[in-house]
Amino acid sequence: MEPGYPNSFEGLPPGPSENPTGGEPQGVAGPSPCQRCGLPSDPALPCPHCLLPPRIPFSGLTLLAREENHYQIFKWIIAGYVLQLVPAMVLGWFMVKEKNPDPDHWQFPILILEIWDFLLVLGIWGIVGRVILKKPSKGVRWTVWLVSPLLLAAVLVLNIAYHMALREFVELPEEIKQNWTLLWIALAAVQPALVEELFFRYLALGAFSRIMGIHAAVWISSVLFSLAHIYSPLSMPYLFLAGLMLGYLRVGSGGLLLPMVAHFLHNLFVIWYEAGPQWMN
Amino acid sequence: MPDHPNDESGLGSLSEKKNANPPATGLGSLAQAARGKTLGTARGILIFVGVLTAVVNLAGFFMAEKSAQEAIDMEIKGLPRGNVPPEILAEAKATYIKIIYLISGATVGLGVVFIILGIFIYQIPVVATVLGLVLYLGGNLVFGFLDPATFVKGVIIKILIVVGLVKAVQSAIAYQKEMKSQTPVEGS
Repeated sequence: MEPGYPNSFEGLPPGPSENPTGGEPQGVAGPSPCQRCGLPSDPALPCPHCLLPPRIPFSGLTLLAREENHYQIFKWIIAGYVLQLVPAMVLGWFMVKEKNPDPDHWQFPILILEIWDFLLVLGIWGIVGRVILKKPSKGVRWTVWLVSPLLLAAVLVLNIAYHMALREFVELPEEIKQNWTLLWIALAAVQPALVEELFFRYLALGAFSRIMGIHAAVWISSVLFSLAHIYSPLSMPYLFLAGLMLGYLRVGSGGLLLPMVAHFLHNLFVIWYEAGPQWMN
Repeated sequence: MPDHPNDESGLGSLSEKKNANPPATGLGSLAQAARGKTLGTARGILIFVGVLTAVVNLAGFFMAEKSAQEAIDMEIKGLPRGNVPPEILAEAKATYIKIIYLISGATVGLGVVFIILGIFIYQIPVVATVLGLVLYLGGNLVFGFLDPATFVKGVIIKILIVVGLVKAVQSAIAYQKEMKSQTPVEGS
């Protein structure tokens, strides 16, 4: 773990159970490491070193991140992950059982599932609170932004090459051509860019980085990300690499905007590649 | 909250411990020994799951042809005899075999990863337990999607394994903290 990183265990505030009055947790009142720069600051005031705004409770909830309660945060992340995947798995069973290959037939259940994912991730975010990573220097952030188009292009080439090789090896039949409506594009490109990035790159990566090194956190959140694509198990090795790229974009850019944009462009390119001439219509 | 990482031993916050730089004796060492025991159990779970996963899928790897034939028989069951041209059947069987090789091979690799995580659990307690739990949960959900029967098979044992690994993560976080607090700060 990097020294001075917000995930370091130095100066942890005591847990709420140690507060004899049962009121506001003791650790909140005293100085604790700033979530952004790691230097001591009062959570009720802006950080004097990096000017991070005060960590105010969200809607009166006691935010776990504010209490530095790493195990509870971890449990919520895992619970959220399972609650996302179990309905997806059950929907998959119905899809296989009905043997209806027309994607449009499943549009409404998929829409409901994605709305569920969105609300679930928002709920977990509300419980966990802000899990901010240490911001890298301005130079590093600029470099990452500048290099990101090249990285994205490399990952897209890898995507095509991997799936061509896979198709060649197992001689899979051609995929069913989908009617790419605006709703499908929103479901396939916009929703994952927002919800998956919020869950895997913000909540999971942020939570894991508090209990392990930043690289381990990126790698494990990528494992989570790839295993979440249960509908395409043969694509998981590629998805793991794509998750690594998005994870490092998150760490290197110091924010969630770049991985969100990269994820959106990635999925949009895949839609364009699959839709072919239909794209023009 | 009873399972707050700081109140396990009831000896005050970790920051206090670190500042005081206490020796690993008395109640602190007892709590650490208990965490070590939980990690030992987690090591057993990970190695057991790893060996089981590797052995079962290695067997699946060598029985790919038989499994492919069974799958083909299931697919064409109910169709009139001779309705499917033999060359199409042979092609479908070859595809099935390749997919079984891919999935079994990857799952044997997963088993080996579990064993490695079990072996290194004391060196990297948090990474080993978190990754073990993530891979176990994710693997079960993926295989549950591919074959619903595998999801419900041995569900009680699976729940016990997940609970054991979740508890192990809690112990690993506290164990790692304690280890860090015992390490003298550089330059002091």
